[in-house]
Amino acid sequence: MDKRKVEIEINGRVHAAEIEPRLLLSDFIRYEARLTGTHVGCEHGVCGACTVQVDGLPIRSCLLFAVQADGCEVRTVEGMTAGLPYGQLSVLQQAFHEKHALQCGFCTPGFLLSLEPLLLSDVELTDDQIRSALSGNLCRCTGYQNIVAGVRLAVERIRGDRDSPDSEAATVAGEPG
Amino acid sequence: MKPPPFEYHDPDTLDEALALLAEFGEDAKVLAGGQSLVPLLNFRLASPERIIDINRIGELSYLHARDGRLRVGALTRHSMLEGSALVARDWPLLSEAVRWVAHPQVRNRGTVGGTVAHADPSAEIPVALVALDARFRARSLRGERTIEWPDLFQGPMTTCLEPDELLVEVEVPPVPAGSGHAFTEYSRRHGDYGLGGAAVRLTLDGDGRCSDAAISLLGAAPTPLRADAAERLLVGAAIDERAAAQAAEAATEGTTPSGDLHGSSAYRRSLITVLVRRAIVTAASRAQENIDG
Amino acid sequence: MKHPAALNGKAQGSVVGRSMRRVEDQALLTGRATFLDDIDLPDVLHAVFVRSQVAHGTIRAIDVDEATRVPGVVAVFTADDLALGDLVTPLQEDIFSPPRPLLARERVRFVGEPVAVVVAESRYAGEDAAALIEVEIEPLPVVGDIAAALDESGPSLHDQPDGSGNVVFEQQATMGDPDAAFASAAHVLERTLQHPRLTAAPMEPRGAAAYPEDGGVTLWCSTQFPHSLRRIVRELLGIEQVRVRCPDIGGGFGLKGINYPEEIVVGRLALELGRAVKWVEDRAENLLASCHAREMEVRVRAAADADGTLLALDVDAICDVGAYGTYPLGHILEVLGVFGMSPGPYRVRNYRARARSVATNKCPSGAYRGVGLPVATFVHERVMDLLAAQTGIDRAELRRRNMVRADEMPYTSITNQRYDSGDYAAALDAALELIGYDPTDNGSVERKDGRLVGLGIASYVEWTGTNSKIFRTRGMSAVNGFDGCHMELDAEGVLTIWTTLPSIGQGTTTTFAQLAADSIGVALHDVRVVQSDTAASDIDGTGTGASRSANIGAGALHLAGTELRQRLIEDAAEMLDVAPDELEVAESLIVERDMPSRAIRFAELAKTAEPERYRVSREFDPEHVLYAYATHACRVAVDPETGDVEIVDWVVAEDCGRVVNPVIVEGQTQGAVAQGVGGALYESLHYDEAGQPQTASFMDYLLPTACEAPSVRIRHLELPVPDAILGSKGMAEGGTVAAGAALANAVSDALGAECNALPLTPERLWQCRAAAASPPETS
Repeated sequence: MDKRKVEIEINGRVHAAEIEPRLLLSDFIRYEARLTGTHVGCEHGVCGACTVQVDGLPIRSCLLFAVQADGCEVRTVEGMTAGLPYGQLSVLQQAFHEKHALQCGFCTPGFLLSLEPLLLSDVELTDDQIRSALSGNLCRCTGYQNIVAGVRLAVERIRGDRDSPDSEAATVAGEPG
Repeated sequence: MKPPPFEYHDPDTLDEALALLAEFGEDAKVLAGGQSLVPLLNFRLASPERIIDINRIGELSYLHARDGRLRVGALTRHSMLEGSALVARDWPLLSEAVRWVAHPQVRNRGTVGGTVAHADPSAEIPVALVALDARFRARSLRGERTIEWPDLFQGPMTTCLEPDELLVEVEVPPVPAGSGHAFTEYSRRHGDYGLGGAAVRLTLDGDGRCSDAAISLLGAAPTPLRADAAERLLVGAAIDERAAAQAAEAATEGTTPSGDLHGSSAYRRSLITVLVRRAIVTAASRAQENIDG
Repeated sequence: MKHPAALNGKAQGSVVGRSMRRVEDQALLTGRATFLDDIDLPDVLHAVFVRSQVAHGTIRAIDVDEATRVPGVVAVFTADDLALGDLVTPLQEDIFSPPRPLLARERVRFVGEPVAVVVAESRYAGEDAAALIEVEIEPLPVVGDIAAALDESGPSLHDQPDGSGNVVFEQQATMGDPDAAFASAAHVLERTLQHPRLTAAPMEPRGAAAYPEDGGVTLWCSTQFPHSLRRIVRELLGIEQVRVRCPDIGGGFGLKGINYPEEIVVGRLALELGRAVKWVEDRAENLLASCHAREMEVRVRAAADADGTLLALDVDAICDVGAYGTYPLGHILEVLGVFGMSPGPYRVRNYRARARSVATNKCPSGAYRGVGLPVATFVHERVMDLLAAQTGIDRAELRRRNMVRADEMPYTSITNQRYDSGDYAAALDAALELIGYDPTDNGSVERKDGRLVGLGIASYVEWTGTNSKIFRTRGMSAVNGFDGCHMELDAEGVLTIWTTLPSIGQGTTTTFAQLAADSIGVALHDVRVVQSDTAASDIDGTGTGASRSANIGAGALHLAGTELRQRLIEDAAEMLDVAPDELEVAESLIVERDMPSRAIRFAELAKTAEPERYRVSREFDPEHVLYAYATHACRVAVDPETGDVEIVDWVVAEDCGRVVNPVIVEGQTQGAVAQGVGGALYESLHYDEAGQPQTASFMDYLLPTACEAPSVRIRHLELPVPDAILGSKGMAEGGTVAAGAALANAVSDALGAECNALPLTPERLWQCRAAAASPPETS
């Protein structure tokens, strides 16, 4: 199996390597880029712990070969606090913290990356819709109730911010932790 | 689990892909969304010598209507189908079906062509396409051919596509005016493959009677199954609970769904009958709404 | 020994009792936590286990030649190469403990059993090599289920000295006079209940990484029981210098409270190769070959008089424990739970019980959240509803009549369980109020959409914090039963705390800090609770599990903290030249009560103290096991045509004594209920007749998603716990204990038909409903 040269931008930084085509993106992120915040829970494409964003879209990184991400922009959990003062969390992370939406934390990065796009949409979110949006990520610790509460809180804060007069550039970066 | 080694090709154009398929087709698997293929590789249930990754072939990704017919490029992601206002307006059965496909992360990668070529009898999109009388275009170095749906789906995970052929387009005819649709499925958990399901399109005439019907079953047979007998029963009838129930019985008559630990054949058959009945009622009421509205 | 009532209340300014946010969150939320596979180990090699694909057979040959030639492969080992002894769980002398080879030798006994191990530069290369290893196995007939295990004409998996075939544990007892009670009872019922095989499936699978250090080995392990792992590694590798360290752990639920052959082998590989070796299992291995649980058949008979008073109970429970026991808890725990706790929160004075564990060609079965109690609760709560139906007495009233009353506490049950404190009826009433129970509302109610609504109640009592006395009576000498805490105050005034109870997500990094703040008077921001490490001090312990942390872990911490506080006060008194009782402690400051300007910081004391002065270790072995309890109630809507179950409402009224951190406690309950719902409606592990697993992936073993898990409304009853060192009982297993019973009762109520087998799959309910239409039969 011939190796391939790839350049994959992760959280704004380009990682270059020569890799086997069969190397999964999840393994590239963890072993080549040494970003261990993205976790591997099944490699079947079911649990969602490995979710990252590729060119803005949440996908299961255990179902993508790293060579397929050559030239793409990848965002992992470590990128969520990029640009924030040290110790500060993004709006979604802060909401998770306040609502006790994590226990062991293994599934958490996958949830965060899956949920970000939802916060920026205009869709009216009932609890059922939130749960539907979460259904591609498994959590064994929390029973999901507090995760739903965390999403609600984050949505309120982001949309509240966005609708208020002096919030010209609403991003998912948030208030002090 | 880690995939076994393979030779990897990622052609940029359709012609390159076809050339590769012509040379290596027998020993190669086409990689589109990967949501079905990569788990098989990770489990080492499949060990193809070569992977032909078609994701860089931009010309295969499109979604538009021409002459009233919907044309979907094979590489169109499910999420694109889901977000399309055109599809929601003119082919709402497809819009409803795609929302049942797994989860958002899967829909961001999975493709329409991929799910058709994979031909899982419990997959939603093929069932909906069969109800809509879709047809398919395949290309090889030998040329292009149009395949009608009864010819395409041959058995579980089996299509009539030759090893050197690539599915390039799905074409869906227009839905008659005065139609209503319903896609329904029942699965163990949200997003799972259905234990059974149904896609229904009903057209009503000026008197509120059914003038045309299409009923396609999910999980009832080795391929998506059109329920001809049930469709015939409905044509000319006023659609009430009783008519729906009779048609539903006819739809699953003689079927022996493949059973497993999540549901036996008998259970699935009973389930599908119930789902067909409910879908007919929903489709009829939506058709009436469309006519009234 | 009773503890001051003051500790049961919330003292003013108390940190305990507050819903403080968790200190562990920052790292977890930002992806900077360190789980096992995240540990940076330079030059690490990867271990890949080759596993049997045959359920039962004799190993004829293992051919590793081709595998060793795969690029990147460093070595391949079989049992003969490693020459290690078997893993044997110490139990009472008269209980057979099946020896488990670390790598199969001569015989394989379940699909997934490790047969060889490849060590390679990458997991990818290791799997390539593993695929080339040919294991020649001559198949033996498969003992595929309980019936086959009991069939004496079939093969035995193990050579028991007394020739007991596959029954690897049996215990029987008769208390009181059940026969007389059954003979004279106005109402008698008999049923067989079935519980499926489940597995904990934490989101982080198992893993261990080892490297040579200090003349021995250091073993990082995602384990709930580090001290027990250290003990068995020392024993089997024959070395004294073994250090076990826990990284961040992504869930355990009891599955990681077992010490595994793979973990021990990894330690050996590191020594053999002189390098760091890491093993991280994948999800298929986790579902196939880690630890299963709960597969039981229970035949129950109950006798009651005309007014519904329970006269006698007769329970015959058989647990399918798979091919081997699990270390250090063994193969007797689950079935002993049913034996001991089938009476539940009820007064039963005539009892007969038989408990058996049988070996089959399946993955070994052991601890999973709740252990035997979910099945015990399933038994007594189905009995309650069935008796209610038979006697015509309201099911809540029937429970109330039979419940042990608060004024009877402490109450010693017929099976010698000392229920220490509690008001079971109060929890029942609270749950009924929360769910809006209407006694006239019996039987299935049909909604407009054709679905049938039902309500289910499940009351239970559970043991929490098992002490050493109990483990000794069970002969489980590899389990200490006590736990320990070590704390050190440094010159900056930072208090570092180690306990023998690893954090597995349940928030002890925060709750232990809260307890330390109250016990010592240290400021919260000066406390660091760090993950378990056997080298931190000489303390020994049991580990996290069986709801030990809030009582036993907290107890050890409190003892150490109290001692530390005393020393600080003594030294401050000397420095300030006052009597110790004139001083007060808060926020890391010791202050003279009547002249607050005279004060000393902890840091100041620490700077001048002798090195050992502010280092304290304590172990805690509670005198009494504490019994937490609750009532769950749920409402469901069942679609009779599809068998679909929707959970419409779920309430919990629970009492675990003083609640250290309400949000964390509620989070545990919500999570446990979701796991319980999974086991009641969606999850079950299956093997075919050839012993081949049918559910070895997340496509077939169905964990509940956010759409299946209910929202849970919780009420706490915080009754005093006289026997608790800090007023708290353990908790966190309740949801898994109650859920199966609550749902079976609710669904039976909805369908007007009996559902006595879990999981309540759509097909099962569809069949159940159809059967209800035909002549009734007992299941």
